Amino acid sequence: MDDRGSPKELDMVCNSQYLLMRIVPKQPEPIPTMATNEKKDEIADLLTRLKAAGAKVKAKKNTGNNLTAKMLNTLTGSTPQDFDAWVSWSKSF
Amino acid sequence: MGILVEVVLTFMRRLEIILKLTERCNIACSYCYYFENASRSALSRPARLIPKAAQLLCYRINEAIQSGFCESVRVIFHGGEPLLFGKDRFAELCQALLACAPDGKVELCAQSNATLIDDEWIILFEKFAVNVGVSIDGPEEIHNRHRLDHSGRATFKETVMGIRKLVTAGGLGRISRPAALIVAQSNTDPRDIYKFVVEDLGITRMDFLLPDGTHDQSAPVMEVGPYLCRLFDCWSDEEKDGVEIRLLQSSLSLLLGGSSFLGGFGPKRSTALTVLSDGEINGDDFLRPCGDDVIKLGKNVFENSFAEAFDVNEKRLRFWAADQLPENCSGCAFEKICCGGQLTHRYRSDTKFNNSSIYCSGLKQFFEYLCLHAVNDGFDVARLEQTLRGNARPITMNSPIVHEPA
Repeated sequence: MDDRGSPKELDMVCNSQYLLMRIVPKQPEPIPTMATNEKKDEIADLLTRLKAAGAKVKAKKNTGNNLTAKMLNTLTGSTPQDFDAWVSWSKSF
Repeated sequence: MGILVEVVLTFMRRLEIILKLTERCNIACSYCYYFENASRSALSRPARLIPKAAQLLCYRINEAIQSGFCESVRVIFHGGEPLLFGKDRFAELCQALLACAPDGKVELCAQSNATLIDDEWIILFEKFAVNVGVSIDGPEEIHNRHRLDHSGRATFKETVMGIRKLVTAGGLGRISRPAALIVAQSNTDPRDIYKFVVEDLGITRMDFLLPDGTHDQSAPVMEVGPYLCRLFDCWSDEEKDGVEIRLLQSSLSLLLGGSSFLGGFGPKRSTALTVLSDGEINGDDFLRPCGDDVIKLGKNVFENSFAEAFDVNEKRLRFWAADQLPENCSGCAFEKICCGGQLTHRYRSDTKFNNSSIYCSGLKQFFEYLCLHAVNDGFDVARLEQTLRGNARPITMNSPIVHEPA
C-alpha cells in the first residue's frame, strides 16, 4: 500500500477534472520480482489435488445434474450475459 | 498491483439506482445494515422520498440516457420497507419513472420484506411491471431468529402470506417470478432453507448473502466454506431444473471462463448508485456496512448528474484500492475469480480495501470444491488452469463448447 488515503488527497482526486471512467490507460503487466518468482505456484498445487481427488470422485456414482454442462450451455447459448446489483433481478440471465 | 476490475466503459450498459423510497421499516431485523449501525443516519432523513427529489430523479434519469452516459436505467425501490411509501404515491412515481425514457429503457424492481403485500400491491406490480425480490431467511424457526418487528414479534406468517401472493401472480404470468434474498446464518443447514424456499414457497430464483462484516468488527466470522459447499451439493443433487442461485451460478460461471451475474462479485464492479429520501446520491448501498463516509459522495439529484456522482464514486473507490487485488491475495489460486471477495468484506478503516475478505478461507474452500465438481463433470483441467491463470479466452455467445461429459 502506498501513502494514499488522507481526506485532503481524496478531495483533490475527486475534484480533478479528468474523467477517470472514460479513459483508463491499460496498466502494464508488473515486472516479476524475485519475490514473485519464488512464490509457490498455488494453481499447480490445486490442479494436482484436483486430479487426485477427481479420480476418486469419478469412481462414485454422480447422481446430480451435470451443472457444469448446463452452465456452459447457458454461457454459450443465446441468453444475454448480464449482471445485477445485489438487490435487483434480471428476468433471466 | 495491476488493475483488476472491469470498469473501462465507453458507456455504461445499465445504471442501477437503489432508491430509498422510505427510510423507515415496519420490522426491525437484528442484523439490518441500514438501521442497526452506529450512525443510524437513516432516521435523520425524511421518512419518505420527498416529492422534489422524485421530480429531479426523473430528470436525472432522462439526462443519463439522453447524454449517452448509460443505455438504460434500472430503479430498485428499496428502504427501509419500500411499500411503506403508500400505493397512490407508488403508482404516481412508477408512472413518472417509466415516462422518463421511451422503449423500456427504464425498468423497475423492488426489494421488500413482503409483509405488506396484498392484492392491490400485486395489481400495481403488474401494471408497472415491477420485478419483485423478497427477503426471507428460511423456515419459520430460522426466519424468526432475526426478522422480528419493533415489538419483538415474529414476522414469518405475514412474510409468507405476501410471498404466496407474489408466487401465485408470477405463476399466472401477471408479474415476473419473485426472487428471494436469504441471509446465510451460522447453525443452519442450507439444505433446509433451499427446500423450504423452492418446495414450500415455489421460488426458483434466489441469492444467499454472506453476513455483513468488515475487518473492523470483532464479532466471530461465520464459517462460510462448509455452508456454501453444502448449499452447492443441495443445488446439484436436486433434480429440479431451473433453480437459480446467483452466488453459485456466478462462481461456477467464473471458474468456467464466463462472467459473474452479480455486480460486485468477482471482477464485475457494481454499477449501482443509491438515492436517499432527501435526494442525496451515495455509492452502492451494499458498502454501507463500511460506514456512511465510504459511500457519501457529496452529490445530490438537485445539483448533480448521475455521471458526475458515478465518476466521483469510481475515483474514491480507486483511491482506496477497491479496483486492485489486495496484496495478501497475490499468488492465490483463485485471485482471478474471487478478486479478494466482496468489497464490504475487504474493508478496514485504516487500510481500506487492501485486505483479503474476512471470509477468505471459506471462499477458498468453496472455490476448490467447485473446481472439483467441474472436473468431475468432465470439464477440461487444462481449460480450468487457463481460467485460473487468466489466460482463457472469455466465453461468449456461440463459443465452441469445450465441455466433455464424464
